[in-house]
Amino acid sequence: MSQAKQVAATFEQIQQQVGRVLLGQQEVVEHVLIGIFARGHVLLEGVPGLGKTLLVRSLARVLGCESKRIQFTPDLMPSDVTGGNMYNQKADQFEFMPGPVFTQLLLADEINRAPAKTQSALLEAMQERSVTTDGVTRKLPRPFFVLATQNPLESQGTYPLPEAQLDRFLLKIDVSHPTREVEKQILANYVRGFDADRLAEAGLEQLLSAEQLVALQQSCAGIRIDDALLDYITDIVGRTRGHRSIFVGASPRASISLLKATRVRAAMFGRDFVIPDDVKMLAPAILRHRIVLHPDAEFEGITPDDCVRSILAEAPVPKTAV
Amino acid sequence: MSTPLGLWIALTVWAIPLEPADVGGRARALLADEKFRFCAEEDFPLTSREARWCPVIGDESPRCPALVESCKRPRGELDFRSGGGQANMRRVVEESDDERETGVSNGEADAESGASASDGSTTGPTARDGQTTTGEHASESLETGSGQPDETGDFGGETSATGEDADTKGSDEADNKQKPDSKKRDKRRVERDEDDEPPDPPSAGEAGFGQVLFWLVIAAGALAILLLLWRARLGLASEDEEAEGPGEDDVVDEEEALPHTPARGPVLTDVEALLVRAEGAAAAGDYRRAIADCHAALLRNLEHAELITVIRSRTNGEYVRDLAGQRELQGRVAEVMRDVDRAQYGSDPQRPMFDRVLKRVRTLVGTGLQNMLLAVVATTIFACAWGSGGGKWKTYRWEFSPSGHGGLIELGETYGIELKERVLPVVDIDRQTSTLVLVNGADPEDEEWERLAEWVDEGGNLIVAGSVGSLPDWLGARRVYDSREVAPLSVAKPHWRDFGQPDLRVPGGDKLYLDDATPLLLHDDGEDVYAATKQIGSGSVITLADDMLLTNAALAVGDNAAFSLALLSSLGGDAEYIDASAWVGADTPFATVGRTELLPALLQGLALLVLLYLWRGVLFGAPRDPPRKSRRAFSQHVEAVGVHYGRAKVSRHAVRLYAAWAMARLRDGAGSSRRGLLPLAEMLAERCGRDETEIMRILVEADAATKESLTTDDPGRGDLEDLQLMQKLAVLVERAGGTR
Repeated sequence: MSQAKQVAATFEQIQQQVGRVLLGQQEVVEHVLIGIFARGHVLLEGVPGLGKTLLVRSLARVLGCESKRIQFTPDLMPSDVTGGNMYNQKADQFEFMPGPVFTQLLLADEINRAPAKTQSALLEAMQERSVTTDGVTRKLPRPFFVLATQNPLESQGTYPLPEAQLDRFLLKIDVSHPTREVEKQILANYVRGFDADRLAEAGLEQLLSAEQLVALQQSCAGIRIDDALLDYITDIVGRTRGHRSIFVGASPRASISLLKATRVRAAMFGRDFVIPDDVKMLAPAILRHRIVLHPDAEFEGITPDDCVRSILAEAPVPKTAV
Repeated sequence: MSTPLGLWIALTVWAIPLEPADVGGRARALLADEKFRFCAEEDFPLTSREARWCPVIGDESPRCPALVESCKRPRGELDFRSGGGQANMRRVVEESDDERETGVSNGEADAESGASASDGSTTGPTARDGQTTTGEHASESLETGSGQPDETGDFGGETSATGEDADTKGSDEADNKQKPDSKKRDKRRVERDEDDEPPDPPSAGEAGFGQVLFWLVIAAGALAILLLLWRARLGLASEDEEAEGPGEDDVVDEEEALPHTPARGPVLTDVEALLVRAEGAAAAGDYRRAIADCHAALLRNLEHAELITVIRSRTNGEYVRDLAGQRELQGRVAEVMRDVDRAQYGSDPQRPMFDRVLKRVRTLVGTGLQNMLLAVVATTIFACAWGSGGGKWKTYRWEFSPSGHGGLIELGETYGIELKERVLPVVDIDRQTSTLVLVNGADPEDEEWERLAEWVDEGGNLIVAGSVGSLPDWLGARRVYDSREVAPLSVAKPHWRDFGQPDLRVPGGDKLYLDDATPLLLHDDGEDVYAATKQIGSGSVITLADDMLLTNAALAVGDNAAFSLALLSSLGGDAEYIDASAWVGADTPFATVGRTELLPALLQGLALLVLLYLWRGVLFGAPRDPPRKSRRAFSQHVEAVGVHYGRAKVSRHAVRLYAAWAMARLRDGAGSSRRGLLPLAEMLAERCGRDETEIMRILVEADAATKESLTTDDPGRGDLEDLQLMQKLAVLVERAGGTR
């Protein structure tokens, strides 16, 4: 079996396992997995109660990773995230007490409730995968993955994430309410005795170790991408900078993110090469949080997704035969 | 013949050099022409009526050598269904064994003993003869009391010589009674059609190898259709099996990539052209380009089927998802797309991948082609079956057949005698026509006979030859049956000076019974009359027992040609003739198409056009992405609303709404606790640096507008002033900083 097919098989198993406890969120799971295997971070936007924490815990169990959760609040301090030096009376010295960021899967719940200073503390961790306190830089464990959530409805007492920080997230995923049928299945699961706090009883198996996960991340990085598709990605991201409704377009980091994510998606489908469909399917999640709309466009009700859709509808697919 | 007529004939005849020997020589040269196929082809299918010339011809005919051999061959039949009337008429070449025996025996019997047995199956003009001469034959039988059997083969299959038939058909009175007063011609035509109906196609078992081969071709065509249907039906299954076979792993990656071929020429939308180009590219080793062309062919085919819309910004995955309504097709297209994606963005494609893609694409796009092929095969077979009539037919030109008159016409031309077909109605005949010849099948109506009588009386010359319906009494002669097989003729003594004593021979069959006409030609017994003449007014009528003397076959015998030309020449030279072809035209355009056998071809063409339209649609132009629906700017929406207000003449309503909004903004912006317009005007004047009075006037107008009732009928001060007020308010709001 080729490496790509191995990756695809692993993906399928992970999705099946997570799908046993998290119903009706296949696309979210797929995107989160893409984020993990692309060594990126994911921002989930959705109202509370849609299973975001359950998703992280399930993934952590299946992927064999350690996970922690930080509930962001306005009084949360940076050291509450990164940890800090504490005086040890016995040793008569300061010792570093690692914060919750020292984990493999970090759920940053309602990240926009913390002030910018605290959010910035997470910034270095996300980008550099290290934490610096008192001049000492400490590497975070590998793999390191942040799954942040934010509530799109509440605006009082929130601190919107700055563009620079948003750019650190590989993907921004809109989590929607489940359908009526899915919601009924969720209830039926609970009727059968499912308890979200006891995932072990739900039969979730660990499919990977952290080392295997890293190896798969590296194998995904080797997926072939045609030069024409690099043009295609460049074209799409470049169009965000000239779009009439977009005030600030996506950065080159967006192009890199798109490249990384498309490779993982190709591997997810058992291919050892990227196709335009990968680019098109992931572009909204990659770009929607990286563009700033004109006020007029916002006033007209245009969303970033509308802009990305219009760009994708205009950008010609390379090597098309017609 | 009266003296003036005889003198006139004599003068005219001797004025033209019609030497029998010379005419005979020219007739021989004429019949040597290939178009007189009965003189060149020894297997020419003579009809029974034409075969009556066989005993006359004998064992040798220098002018028409093949006719002797043709007489020994089976008789043929005419096919009126083939269309073309007498101009082109098909003859069946081979007959069934029974018919062949009958035909041969007839010929032999005719030649040897003159027995009157006949096959009775003859169709065509001879059948018409039979219809019209039957009564006269019976009449002769009654008059002579001979009770001879009728020659049914040539004169109608139903005819018999029994007394009962004679009672019902024999006399002229009875014959006249049989004539319908109205629509007689149509009725005759119906009768003729019934009689002319060709026999059923002989079965394969009866007709030998040719028929067997024909039905084998039909069966092969049917089998081919079934095979195509079977393959089309099972194509999916085989494709599925094939899909489970070689996988993507079979594709061999090569380090050395082929150079990417740039786009070649205009964008092709023709599926077949794309596939052809793909095969060409594959032959050149450019498999990536070849697969791209296959891909384009598939997309175009799906687009023609209106399943997808080809747009350059769409991916293969999107095309596949567009087919969500057709799961089966979607799966098959997805298989192709996987290979296409791999070829375009993955490893370099190799021959196995191209073959696989081409096969799958051909299977997918082949449905339309298969349908078209099926239609072509089916309609072709249908057309063949329709056109062939299930027998072995050949088409001959009637005018150059033994029964035609083309030879006499051409021969006459060499002597300056013009004999041409009359195309105008008989009732319109006038003195422009000097001579009119009615030959078999002319069948004038009663009113036409009346007009002919008047015309003859005015000086016209009428030759009535053969069966032309019931002869009117004023001709002075009636046609009756004659049993002799060979009829050597002699010129009646009063006309020796005019025509000499030529060697005239025609087949037996009919003779004339004279009332008040005088004999012109006599049979060898010197009593029976073959041709008679009668002077009527300033004109004359010459009645012949049949038209044999004027046919092409007659040119091969003795001095027949010389006498016929002399006869025409004696009547003034130029003449017009009417034969059965005057009535063989189709009643409707559809019948015309049917007779010409173009119906299957037209249907085939129509079917192909329909299929072509269904297959290709109307997409013949250069492909372009459909225009994208763009969102309108907010200002365009505002403008559209303003236009609606303007059209509805409700500018005052717009002023009220805008003034209410503007006043609220201005008050918000002022931030003063003082109420009323005056403090607001003071503040705005101070902020904007404008005259307070002017601002106050604007505010008063705006305030008044806001307080107007919705139901007021006040039209305001007009659209322009309303607009000006809104513009002034807008300026105030902008300068006061209250827009947002």
